[in-house]
Amino acid sequence: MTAPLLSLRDLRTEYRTDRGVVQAVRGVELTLHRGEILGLVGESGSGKSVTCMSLLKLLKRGGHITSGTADFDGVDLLSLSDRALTRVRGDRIGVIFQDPMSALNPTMTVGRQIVEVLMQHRRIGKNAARARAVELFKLVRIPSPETRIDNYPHEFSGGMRQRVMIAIALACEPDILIADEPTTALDVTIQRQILALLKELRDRLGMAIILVTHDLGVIAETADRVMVLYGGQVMEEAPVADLFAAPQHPYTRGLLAAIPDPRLAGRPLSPVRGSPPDMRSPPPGCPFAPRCPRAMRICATPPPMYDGTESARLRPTQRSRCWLADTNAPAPTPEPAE
Amino acid sequence: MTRPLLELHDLEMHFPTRHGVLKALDGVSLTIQRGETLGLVGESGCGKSTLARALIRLYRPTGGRVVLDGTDITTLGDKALKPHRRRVQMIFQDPVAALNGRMTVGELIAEPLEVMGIGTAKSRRARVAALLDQVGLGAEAADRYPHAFSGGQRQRVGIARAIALEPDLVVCDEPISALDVSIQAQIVNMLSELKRDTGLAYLFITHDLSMLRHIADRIGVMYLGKLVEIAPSEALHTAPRHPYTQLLWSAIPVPDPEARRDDAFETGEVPSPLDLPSGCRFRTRCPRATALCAEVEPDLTLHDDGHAVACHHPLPAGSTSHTQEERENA
Repeated sequence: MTAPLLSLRDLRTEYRTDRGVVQAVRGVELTLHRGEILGLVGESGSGKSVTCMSLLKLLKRGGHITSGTADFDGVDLLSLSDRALTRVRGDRIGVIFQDPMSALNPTMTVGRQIVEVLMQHRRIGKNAARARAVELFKLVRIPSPETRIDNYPHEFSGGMRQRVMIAIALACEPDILIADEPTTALDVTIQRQILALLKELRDRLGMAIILVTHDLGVIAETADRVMVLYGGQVMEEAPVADLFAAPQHPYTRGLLAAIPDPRLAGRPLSPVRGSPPDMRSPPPGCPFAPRCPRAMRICATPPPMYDGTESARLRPTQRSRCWLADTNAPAPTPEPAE
Repeated sequence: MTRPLLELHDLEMHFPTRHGVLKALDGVSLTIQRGETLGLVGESGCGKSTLARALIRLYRPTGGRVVLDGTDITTLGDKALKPHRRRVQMIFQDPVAALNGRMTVGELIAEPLEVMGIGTAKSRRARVAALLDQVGLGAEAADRYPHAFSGGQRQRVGIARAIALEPDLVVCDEPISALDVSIQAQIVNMLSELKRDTGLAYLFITHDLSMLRHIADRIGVMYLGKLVEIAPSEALHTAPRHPYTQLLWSAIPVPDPEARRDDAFETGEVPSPLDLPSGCRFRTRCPRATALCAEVEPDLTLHDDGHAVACHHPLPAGSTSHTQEERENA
């Protein structure tokens, strides 16, 4: 196996707020390989977005990283100076957000915004940068690119604006593209276009993508490997097919069971009971324990991250942070009949 | 057939803008029966939220009629409308965000009762306690403030407030979109129970098509201010007849990696509602469009039992959609 492109260890990020300290990320580990699409899935407050924004030190006011290392091609991103990190951002790591309008400058044509990125990171003249901008617009399939690059952000639809954002993020051919809920604000037909585009660009350019989403459908359509986050921690990690075919963590199972199944239309859904934890005072053990139908007494202590070598229940490529993955855990209850 | 609870006849809501007339709703007719859940889907700008606001008379429609249980309420003034307001209530994406944050949950839920002059302070308190129980919050929630609640709990407060006046119809505008997946199912189950227990009807507006299939009896599909197809929920999913419905269905991400589709999906975008295509509004994105579609706007026509479609070249009845096929095979 080749060395990972990015290796994040023991990331902890906090937010100071008027109402106390929010422990947003509590020891997240993440490995990303070249050319892979890693899905980060979780609900609001799970820590999925903060994990990504910590990597780029793009934290909102009050946020700070209290521990962790992020080895990116031999360099620790988390210990870089702001200036050095700025060089990495936009050059080797691109990022797109849920709302492209907030990331684009409304007073500047989109073409100029791409040209600026290129001239900042590359020794390149204005004309060459403009030609490259047109090329990028073609790459993300914006119709009539030669005229569209002279438009302002508000002159684009939501879907086209997200394509502009992708074009800017790809301007310097980054090794990693971080996509934080890139289709959440878009209509479903536009979402499918953008997801197809991301997969195609990965195939053509070979970059790795970290895809943050709350939508398991988007994960199933797009990701190669998935990490499920809850309460600021990774609950389960597996190749996408394994995660859906044989979810191990009770939280993953609960999430999958809550999706309406067309074969059971009209019957009550199976929600996860209770509410997510208050991250100012998360539960001492497993964050999911208070809502978990299979919680045991030991779940008041933090479970380790089991992998396939430590647990007879897990596949070699699967990991689960649950006491049920321990070889001494009680046998799983039989699955309810389909 | 008994009289429908709600009838919309050729409902029209045109807004004048600097750039011309925005035809947010351009002649929509539909009915909702007592105890029925009618789902409404469509992409942004299709007019589904405008329809909701026009039918609860937050707007005064610029054309057509809204008939509630036999009474035409299209042009009634505030005073004449008051007795009818009780019968139709609304749930929003974040109900509490629109409400006074200085009021306790109990006060918020009692407010509609007070406005309508129903009961005494004491009987209203008892009613609030019963409503809180009904939505699974417990009577003790009455003295707390909404900001202390999670998103799912706040939606329960919104629902308690909406059902306080025992309405016949509740209009739900994206009621679960802002909620986490694990909480959405809680709210949807609760809405189903309320319907079963009280016999109320819902107009359920959402972009979550798989959830809609789960809860709706019938589903209407809107595109650029028009209703393009309406049918029983199951028929609309397994055998859509309008090419737009088929496009929508095929775009839903399927939560099953085995059914993954890796094809490019270039189907264009919705045209500007200020510059509508001639003829059929969907023709610019439609694979079946012909010269006829550019000239003549198709009417919504009832094709077979309960399945109506506005298309010159509808898909054959009983054809199976792509997504459905994949799901069954999975």
